Amino acid sequence: MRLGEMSAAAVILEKARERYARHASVWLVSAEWARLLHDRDREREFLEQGLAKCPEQWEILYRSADLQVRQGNLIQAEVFNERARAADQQRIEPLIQHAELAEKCEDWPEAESRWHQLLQRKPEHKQAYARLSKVLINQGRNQDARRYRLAGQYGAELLEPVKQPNAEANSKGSAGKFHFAQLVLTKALLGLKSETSRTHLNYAWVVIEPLLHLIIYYMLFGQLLNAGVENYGLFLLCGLVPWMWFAKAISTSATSIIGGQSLMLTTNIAPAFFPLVSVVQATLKQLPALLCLLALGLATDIKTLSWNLLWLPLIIVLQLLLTISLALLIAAIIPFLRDLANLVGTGLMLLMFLSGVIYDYRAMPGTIGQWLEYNPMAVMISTYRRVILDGNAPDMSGLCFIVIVTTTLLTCGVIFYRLQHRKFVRQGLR
Amino acid sequence: MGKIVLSLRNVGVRFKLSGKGAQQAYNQPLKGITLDIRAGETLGVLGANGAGKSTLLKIMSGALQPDTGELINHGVNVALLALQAGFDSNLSGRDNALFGGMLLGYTRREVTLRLDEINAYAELGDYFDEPVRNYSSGMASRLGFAISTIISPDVLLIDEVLSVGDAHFKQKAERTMLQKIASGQTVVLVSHSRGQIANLCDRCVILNNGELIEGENLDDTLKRYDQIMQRQ
Repeated sequence: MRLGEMSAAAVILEKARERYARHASVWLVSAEWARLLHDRDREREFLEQGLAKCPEQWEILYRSADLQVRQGNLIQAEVFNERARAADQQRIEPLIQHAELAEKCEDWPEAESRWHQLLQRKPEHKQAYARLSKVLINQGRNQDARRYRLAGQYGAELLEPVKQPNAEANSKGSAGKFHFAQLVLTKALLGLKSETSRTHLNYAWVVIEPLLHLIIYYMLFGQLLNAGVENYGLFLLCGLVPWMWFAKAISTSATSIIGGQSLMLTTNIAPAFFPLVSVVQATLKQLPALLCLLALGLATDIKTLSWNLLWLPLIIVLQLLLTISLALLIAAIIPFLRDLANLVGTGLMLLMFLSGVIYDYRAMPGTIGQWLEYNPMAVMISTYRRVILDGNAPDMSGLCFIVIVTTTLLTCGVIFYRLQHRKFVRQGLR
Repeated sequence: MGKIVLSLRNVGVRFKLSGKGAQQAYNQPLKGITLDIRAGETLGVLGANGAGKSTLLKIMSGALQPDTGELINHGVNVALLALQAGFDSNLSGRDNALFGGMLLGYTRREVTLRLDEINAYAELGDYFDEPVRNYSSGMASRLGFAISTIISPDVLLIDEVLSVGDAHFKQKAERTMLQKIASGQTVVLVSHSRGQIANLCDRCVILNNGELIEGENLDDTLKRYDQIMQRQ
């Protein structure tokens, strides 16, 4: 038959039908032979005879339904198909035919449910997904159609809904500020960890670095040049430690927004994140050192202990705020005027000399000393000295001045960020 | 058709060129793009290299401000699937995953709870506690992808990231993405793989020299894309 010699096949089939009339396959092959000759009457005849000899054989029923479909007799086909499905529950072909029949009738919802039935029994049947997808397209349900098409290609588990993470979008709105603060703190802590991870002494550097600075300045100014200040060790300590904290924070935050470019492009994070992380990281790094060294200094000089030391936390918080406001402003300006980044180092050096870190600025000749009182860092450092060295309450007018400067800087910064919010990213791309 | 969630109206972007050899003063990756994105659809963006595909995504995510026109966000949150965003190579995979997850908008606690899940997905094993600088590039991108699988924004923007790691992991990544697409997430997928777009998307647009081309339907658009590619 496959060789195309239909007449020879006819002879063989004739004999086979006589000899093996009980075998369904004989009738099926015969029907197939008739189908190939496009002889529908003979085909039906064979199938009917086959059914008579082998009642309720699923494949003959299936073929009969198929023939009815080709003859355009859909209702009759349904009947045969139903019998075929009843005859053998395991076979998948009648089920496919069942769904195809509904498609033929253009009864799409029915076809959909029939394909579903099939998939319930045979979830791994890939073609069924594709066919179901087409049915869905005919119903105009393109999205569902794609789901099933992809499920056919990549496996049925795609159809299971993705489990939603318990954090929903609304947690961003209400807890936004808190989350931002948490993010800054986490990044700062991780940054500190990253900074120290490759050194052998790790966190010890947090104390060693300021200590080395202290020794250098002490030897240079205290011993060799003789600054003429009594108790110079503690005097230097009160200036140097807050100064190092301030300088570190400013210098690292200066170019932080430029450095955060790629992150801003991909995650929409607020630009203020970067300078804030720098300041917090510098604070975390310097604060333990600050407290350690102050304790050390005080231990060597018991007589300066007084209740006025309780002012210290307030002063530290004040300095933190001052640092943040200045860092925000500088970090915001530098993306627009990158040349300024080169001046930050020099500017800090100048400011250090103008803040009386290593000497008493009031000892400057002429009116310079008076002018220096308008330098908030100079006021800050002299406040530390007043409280720690002299054991006096801080100068209220000085603190007010610092509060005013901080508020002004912060207001400028906030306005700048509000106005330029969108431009930061663009600046970085230039 | 779902309701419109994002609209671009006549969006144009240009960058100043500073090189001496530049013939014109500006590079204009996008010129007057008008496009609507509807809830639940998967939109494909096709285009040759340098056609402005990634710039378009940055505009959609809101990271980049257009020079002309505007982006209208109808109250949805949009996120770009960015692998290895903010990675610090001195920190361990665990720490990077913590920060990466928080960067995606989760609280510290929520991310901590999911760290083991992330590690299991990335298949890093003990390397999870090693610094990322010791990772192979495949491991790093696996970690990056594993972190980003936890996000489910209203609109997800994907920029050719479905090709991470080796064949095995790539399949896993694709499957995860498909799961999101299949579950009705709104997705904008940028790719120059025509086959991928044809397979995954309901709708497709072509970016060609900064202009948007869209056919009547997906097949029509793909046909036009083939024509454009042949002309070059």
